[in-house]
Amino acid sequence: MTASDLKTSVPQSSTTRAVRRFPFELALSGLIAIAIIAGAEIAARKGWVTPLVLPAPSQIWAALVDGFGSGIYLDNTFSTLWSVVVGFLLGTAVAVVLAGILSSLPFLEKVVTPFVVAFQSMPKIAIAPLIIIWFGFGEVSKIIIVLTVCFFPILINTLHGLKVRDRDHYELFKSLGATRWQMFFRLRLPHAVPYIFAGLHIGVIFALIGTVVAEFVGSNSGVGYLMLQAKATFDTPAVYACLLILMLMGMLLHFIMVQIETRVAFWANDITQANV
Amino acid sequence: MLRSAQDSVAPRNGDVVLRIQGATKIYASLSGSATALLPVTSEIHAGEFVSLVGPSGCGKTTLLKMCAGLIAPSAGHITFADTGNSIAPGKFGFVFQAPALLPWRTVLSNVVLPADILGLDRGAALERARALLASVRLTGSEGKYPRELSGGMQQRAAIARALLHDPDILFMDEPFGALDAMTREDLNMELQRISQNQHKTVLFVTHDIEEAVLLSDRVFALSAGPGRLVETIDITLPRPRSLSVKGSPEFTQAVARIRALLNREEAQP
Repeated sequence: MTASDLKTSVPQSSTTRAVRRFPFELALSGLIAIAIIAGAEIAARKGWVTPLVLPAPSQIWAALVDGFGSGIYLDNTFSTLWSVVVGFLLGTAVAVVLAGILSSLPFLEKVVTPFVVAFQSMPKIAIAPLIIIWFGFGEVSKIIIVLTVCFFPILINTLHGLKVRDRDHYELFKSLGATRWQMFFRLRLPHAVPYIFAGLHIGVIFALIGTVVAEFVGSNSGVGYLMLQAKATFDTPAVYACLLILMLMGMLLHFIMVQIETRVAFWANDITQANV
Repeated sequence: MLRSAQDSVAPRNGDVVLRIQGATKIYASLSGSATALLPVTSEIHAGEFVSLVGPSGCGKTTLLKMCAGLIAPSAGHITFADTGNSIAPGKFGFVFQAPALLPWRTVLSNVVLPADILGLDRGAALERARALLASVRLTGSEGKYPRELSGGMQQRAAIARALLHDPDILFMDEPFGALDAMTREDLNMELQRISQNQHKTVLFVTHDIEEAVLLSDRVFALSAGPGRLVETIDITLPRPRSLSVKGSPEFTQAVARIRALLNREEAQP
């Protein structure tokens, strides 16, 4: 019996197949990337497009080397990363705790839900100028904007996950006389973990967007601020260099989230491959 | 009925553990009210294996959950032993049709869950969980996650979990309904062995008449529309019973009798 039972477990065959096919796909992606960069380089050198629109990739590279060499890029990258991480962590903490409270108190949830819906319908980015008025230029405003922007997707997803849908699980806990506290920490919260991660994946990218917008509207540090300065002097290569930094930052944050998720929510099916 | 009388834990063998007095269930709906179960009055004794059998909609699961105190009866009452109250949470084990294992816990951790909730000694619980897993032939699967097990193995783990806190009564709601015939017979034999060895009172819901006769000391035949207890049938086949008992005349007679009872009820609503 055990031999046949094991077959029904984790689908090992498909994973090995995916691993075997991977190098070819990666090679193709790499080839396309090289073709695009080479094409851009040729187009720029031949003067097909003005460098104001599309500078040569070599110029962008030079801007990157220059910026990191002088330390300006590194400082501002850390400034951006710091706001993203702090704002995101604070937003996550507030969202998860609030979701826990709301889902445990149905009355309060009903009262608060219209406000959540109203605020959620509003583009959060739009309150950035207001927050700058309230808290002034700088770090504090930046972090508060990030917190506000990434808070809602995490709250909504966590609320969703904290609802117990499995009647058997609920009755099992009831049959053992579980307290509300036990029901929350041993059933509803673990059940919500994959949902929370769905919110975190959106939230972390929102946090990056929030940071850049905050740096656009009211800050004197960060990659967004660098970009504005580069724009002001028509330094297009530096604008592209900043975009590249932001892209890499987004990829890094996403990668870290996936790594954490595979460790924490490993029991939920296909978590890492669901959105590929 | 061959039953050893070594049961040392209270309630003792033969004592009434569940007294069902006029238990009724009426569900209120928008279009009025629907009667799920007409008044049932009966008694269930310690160490007894009782099956509730009948077609869907006969209220067998409702009766089971009322006995376990998970649903309150609309009228009448069901009391546990001589407490005068319904059975307290934590004093019984419940096995659902689906295994209902928590996917984020390992098999061993799932079986230990009742101890976590009830605040029992963890070391002793782990030891008992390992022994129970061995008795349901799941040794070696302790560290696996539910999704790595087959349906039959998951249901065996669920039975081990229901027994962890040494409950007075084991309630089972069509526990083998979703399994294939082979696995089901396999688990039937296992359940008989466990209930005999541990002298458990079992209340077992099924729609399979043969399964009910094979396992039970008594069968409650229920009929639908509205649900009601039609008759209680004693099954006196000697224990332990093997699957070959299904070929015996006593077995076939009992099955035929229950089937006739249920069919007659269906013919004249």
